[in-house]
Amino acid sequence: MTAKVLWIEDNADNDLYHLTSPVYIDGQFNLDIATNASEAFYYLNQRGYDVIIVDIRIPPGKDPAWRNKHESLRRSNNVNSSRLGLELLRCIFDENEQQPTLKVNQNLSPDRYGIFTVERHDELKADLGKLKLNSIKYQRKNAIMPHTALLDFIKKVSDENGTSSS
Amino acid sequence: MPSDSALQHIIDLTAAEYQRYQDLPFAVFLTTLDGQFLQYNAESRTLFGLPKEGSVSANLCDFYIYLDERDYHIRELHDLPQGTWLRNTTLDLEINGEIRHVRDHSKAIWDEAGDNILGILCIMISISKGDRYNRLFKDVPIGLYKVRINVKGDHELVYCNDHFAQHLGFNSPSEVIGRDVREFHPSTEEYEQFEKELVETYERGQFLVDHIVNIRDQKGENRKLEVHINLLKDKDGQIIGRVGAERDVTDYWETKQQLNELTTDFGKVLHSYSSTLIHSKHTMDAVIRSFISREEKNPQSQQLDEEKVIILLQQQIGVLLKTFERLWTKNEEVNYFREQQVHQMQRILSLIARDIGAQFNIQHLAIVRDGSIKIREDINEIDRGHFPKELLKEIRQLLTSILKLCSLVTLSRGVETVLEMETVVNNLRSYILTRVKQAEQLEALDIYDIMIGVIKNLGEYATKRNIELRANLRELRDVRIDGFENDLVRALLNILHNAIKYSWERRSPAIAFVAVDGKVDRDWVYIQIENWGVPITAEEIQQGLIYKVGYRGINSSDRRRPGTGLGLYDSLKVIEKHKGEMTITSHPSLGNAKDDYSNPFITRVNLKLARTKPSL
Repeated sequence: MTAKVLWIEDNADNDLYHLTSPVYIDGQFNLDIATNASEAFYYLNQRGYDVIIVDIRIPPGKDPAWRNKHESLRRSNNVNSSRLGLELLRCIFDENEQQPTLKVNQNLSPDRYGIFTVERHDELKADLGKLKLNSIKYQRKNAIMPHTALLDFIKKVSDENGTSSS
Repeated sequence: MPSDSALQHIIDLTAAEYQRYQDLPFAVFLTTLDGQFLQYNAESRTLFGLPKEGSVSANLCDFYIYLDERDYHIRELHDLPQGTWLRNTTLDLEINGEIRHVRDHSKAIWDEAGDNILGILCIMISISKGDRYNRLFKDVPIGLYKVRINVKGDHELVYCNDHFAQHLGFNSPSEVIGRDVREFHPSTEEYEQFEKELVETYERGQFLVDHIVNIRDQKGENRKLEVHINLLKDKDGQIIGRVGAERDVTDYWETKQQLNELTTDFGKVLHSYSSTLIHSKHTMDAVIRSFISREEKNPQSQQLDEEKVIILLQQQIGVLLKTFERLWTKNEEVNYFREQQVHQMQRILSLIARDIGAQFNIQHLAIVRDGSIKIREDINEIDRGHFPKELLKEIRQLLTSILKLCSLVTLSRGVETVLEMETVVNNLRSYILTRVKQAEQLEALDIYDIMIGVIKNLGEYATKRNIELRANLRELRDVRIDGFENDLVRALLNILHNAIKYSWERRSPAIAFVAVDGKVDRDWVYIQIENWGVPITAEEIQQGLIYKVGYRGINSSDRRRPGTGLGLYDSLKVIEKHKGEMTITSHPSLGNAKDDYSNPFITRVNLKLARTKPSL
């Protein structure tokens, strides 16, 4: 049985495509890719995942609700206007999230999530703390990571939440 | 009009008060509510230019320049408690063709019931220009001051307004007037340098303006003042002092300095980033040149022909699959691989062979590469003697060939990405240097030369993207426009780069193209850049979203397209700086629905720039 993985990453098909082929070759994981907040939101509400890997800097995509959110954050010069991955986590884990149209109704277990981003962990600490996600798994994206970095991180999240495929 | 008895009634009501004030050296007079003079002293006759003797039938309202001031004045009197003076209203009157400024103190005369105002008792004082300028001097929100050099050689502050005093850390002018201003400068050397510049500017017949002076205020804090100064000299040409205006720019200056440092640093980083990209591109080119064979080249461009390489790759993969069939058959005999290992290798082979008939995308190429490497590792681990040597050699050769072809295409696409990013980085660097840090001079530019330069600059990038650049610029020959060269080149590079970047590729033998057209009339140059590909939605155009800083088009990320979201914003600003126009349209190709953005659109950027006026 292969584990289901969602990778939320706008560059997955482009600059970071090298990271996906080890996942396919390895054969243990069934990988879905969302390249923006709208697609991620759709997948999260449509399918159950064993592992969800989230990038922090993602574009809004085509969903008007996400475009509006992005535009209103941008207008108010909110730094999170380009960190919609964080806003996505807010929609999933913030109990006070006001916008019902952006509510995620499944995939609500934090131990299935991992953050895979160029942002340093201390840059995210305050926001993650507010969402009670201090212990969420984190992996920094940079040029020295091996081409198997995504696969390794998926395995790490999967092993620790007990969903690793046999 | 009130009856005579009513008017007399008003006079009677104010008799005592009027008597009390009428001998004052100011105009004291009584009017009805609608301005008719009822009583007036001699000073009033003088002020309003009325006959020195006899009764007059003048009306105060006739002297108002702004009659609404009278209405406003009466409303204010209405709102005051009875018997209260409305003090210090400044009015502009026109008396005998001259504008006079007066200060007015008024009191409403109410009827006995206290319901209505019957008349107004006024005391009016003519005020000089000096009074008004003093008021202005006090109210204007910048520091104003005068310094004189006295007989002892002190640079004595002789007067200043509140703002100036506050900028030096004092509460009021009285606390600082009389001090030697040199004491507020951090050092004698700095003050002497400041004086030197002041004198030099004066000798050039100019004022010292926008000059930043360092000040240490009364509290010992360092401040930056932007000063605008005129030097004062006596009739013998001796410097006797100066007058000036200043504003405190301490916070703004620090921010400006930080921004300046940041943009310098950022410019340097982008410069070295650009060099790194060029180095990477040349390295990749060198590797491609080292491994490419004749049948993989385009005979015209002598560059890698990706289509040919893909066909070769598909052929090699087909042969590999057939060779592996032989290996599996042999494996049934020798029983070397376990079922699970066979299953794993077959799964990888099926991944490699997936979409073999279709155009390879970059992700698929990565799978072919990583899958081939994995299989090569497995094959290399086979113990000697289990399979025919030739069979294993054939598989290894096929895998090496597949890896080479894969790498060539991947490198070629890598070069494309580097070229794309290099333009983005260069434009960003140029934006910072020319828009933020340096001001360019306006000059007459040959628009034809500029367009040809821009097209040449992006030629290699277009070739890599398999996009043809079709230029029709004959009409632009020898046409000049007044422009800022770096700005204009950057704007045109941005627009053309976008057109190439957002073009869709066509299947061979058709080729996608970007059309660049130039037209002129007597006054204007018209440039149109047209591409076929990624749509811009009607909403993005109507709401001007595409011109916002940092905005990336709703459909812009469907393929590998790096960008800063600065290009169109910058281009529009540059065209506006040239007093030109820039419009963008995006329509579906013939026959497609106008709101189906999954189809390619024709996008046109139209520029209109003014021609240089011929000299007479």
